[in-house]
Amino acid sequence: MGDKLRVSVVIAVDETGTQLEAAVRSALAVDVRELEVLVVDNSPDDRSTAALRDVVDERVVRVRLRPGRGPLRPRNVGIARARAPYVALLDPDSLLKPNRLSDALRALDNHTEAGFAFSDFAVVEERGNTVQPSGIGTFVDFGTVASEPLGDGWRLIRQPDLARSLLHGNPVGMSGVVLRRRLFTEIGPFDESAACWADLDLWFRLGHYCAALYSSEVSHTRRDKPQSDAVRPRAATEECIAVLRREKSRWSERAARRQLDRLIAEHLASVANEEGRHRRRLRSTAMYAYAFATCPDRRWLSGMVHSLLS
Amino acid sequence: MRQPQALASAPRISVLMPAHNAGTYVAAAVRSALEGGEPNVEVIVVDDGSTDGTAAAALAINDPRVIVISIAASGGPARPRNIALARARSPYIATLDADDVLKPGRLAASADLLDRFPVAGFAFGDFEKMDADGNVFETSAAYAYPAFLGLRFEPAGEDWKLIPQGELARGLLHGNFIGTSGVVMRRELVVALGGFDESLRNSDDVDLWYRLAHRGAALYSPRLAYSYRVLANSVARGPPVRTALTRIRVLRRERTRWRDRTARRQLDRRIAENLASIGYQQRLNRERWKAIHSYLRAFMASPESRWLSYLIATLLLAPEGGG
Repeated sequence: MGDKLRVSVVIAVDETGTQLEAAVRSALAVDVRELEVLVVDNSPDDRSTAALRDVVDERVVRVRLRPGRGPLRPRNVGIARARAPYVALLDPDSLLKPNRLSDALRALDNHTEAGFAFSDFAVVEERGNTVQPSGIGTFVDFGTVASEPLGDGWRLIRQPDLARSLLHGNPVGMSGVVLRRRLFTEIGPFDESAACWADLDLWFRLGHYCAALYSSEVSHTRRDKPQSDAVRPRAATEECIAVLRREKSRWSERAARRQLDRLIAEHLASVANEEGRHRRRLRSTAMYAYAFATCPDRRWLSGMVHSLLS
Repeated sequence: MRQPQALASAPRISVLMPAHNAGTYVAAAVRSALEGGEPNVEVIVVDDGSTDGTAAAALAINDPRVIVISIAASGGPARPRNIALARARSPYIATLDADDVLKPGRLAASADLLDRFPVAGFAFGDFEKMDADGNVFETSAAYAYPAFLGLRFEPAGEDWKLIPQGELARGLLHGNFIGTSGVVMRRELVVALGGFDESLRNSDDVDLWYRLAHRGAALYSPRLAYSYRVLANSVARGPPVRTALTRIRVLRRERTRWRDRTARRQLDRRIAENLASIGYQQRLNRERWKAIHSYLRAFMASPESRWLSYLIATLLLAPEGGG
């Protein structure tokens, strides 16, 4: 009857999850016996019922939500239902490596200053062949982030360095991240209004709150998938700009604010580019002008001129 | 720092629902729990090896307060109840069978009373009986337990009554007047008592009531707490010999908790009744010598002339006669 759970694995199922059963089985097969797997489904076709028909295990807890409230609602419900001191996030398209979760838990037990642990991941294609052995390897700037070696392949990224590293890209991803559950009470859960940028928003907030642990050893494989049709590029870009602006409000340091302005301008320019492709010339020009006003870069000026003349 | 909406707080009541092939009724049971007057409730459905889509029926309610856990068939409700208990996070737990229906507002009312009376370990109410289609054929169950109606109650506000610990324990010696569904208990107390006994394929609830009755008082309301669906295939209607044997185990265990001679004698009487009911089944199965042995054991447990007369009747009459 005692509650000795070590970790709650939260799997949010939306319309994109294609290998849910394999993902759940990979979580059940890790070398941490004291775990629960929370599968929260708000897919329109209730895909978890069919996918998990043969998964009979008391460690698997299923919750079904009304469809259509976005991919973050199930993730937040799963976190709210989690009981273990640690929460591991897993996408239905990812498979955990059997020994990496216990490694992350041990590292977090030993380094209480770190709020979460993340690792590298491999990207595989539909048939399981590896197309990218190191997902984090694509973030060139990540290699330059200051960190301290801790042994067992883990490195400690201290809080200010973590916050600063996130200004140059999001290497954390979503699957395979192990967090202390109390963090969600202390800094809040995923922001459901931030849609597909909610992970970046959460890491930004954590970057101002705690240190992180990183291991270059692959903790999970992620199946490469085409972007969902439901993701509207323009809306997603606007959500990202909102997340970046919010992060900017947390910084007083000029260099950091300038870097965030640069990122905001890049996203504004991508909106301008999209407007241009739809032959909305004036809107495109206005967006390039907005990007230039945010971060005076010659590229946006030339984009503006190009849209005016084309 | 701007923070998104906070996580949902821990529930106040967790409803433990074992479900075995209850696909027809489970949604109604879950909905009744969600409408029990306590919005901060969670319903933990443990699908015990169902083959009729019970889990899917429970999940189809699409409510984050409902969680479903599927396990291999365990053969009784104790294991799924314990799994749900281990999962529960609230200060109060309530038991609800997947084919029963709670009355609106009763969960919250029970929890409110338990808040006010810390001396009580649990709260329960009367219940009505209905058939498979939901037609009520018995509007109260309390009248069937005269020993219960004769207990000394203390007023606890509105229509609630407090049954002091000693009265409760003594009352249960005469029969189980506590309907399983709709009983609201303190979770920590149940956990401290070790939860439901998984070695019992039935009567695990009665076993828990006995243990609770030795630990504290109870609250009772004569208002209906739930509708009990009487089905031909319910767990309580398992093989009669097996269920009687399990009841005897529970009664014997309860007997070890008493030093009082009157209480032990009353439990002996009930053990004898169950042995006699086994004898009756054996008579029906034409197991004459086994039946005689059971009646003899009943007489030895509680020397009453009726067991002797059944024994003689079994010896002399044709095996298919009544006991």
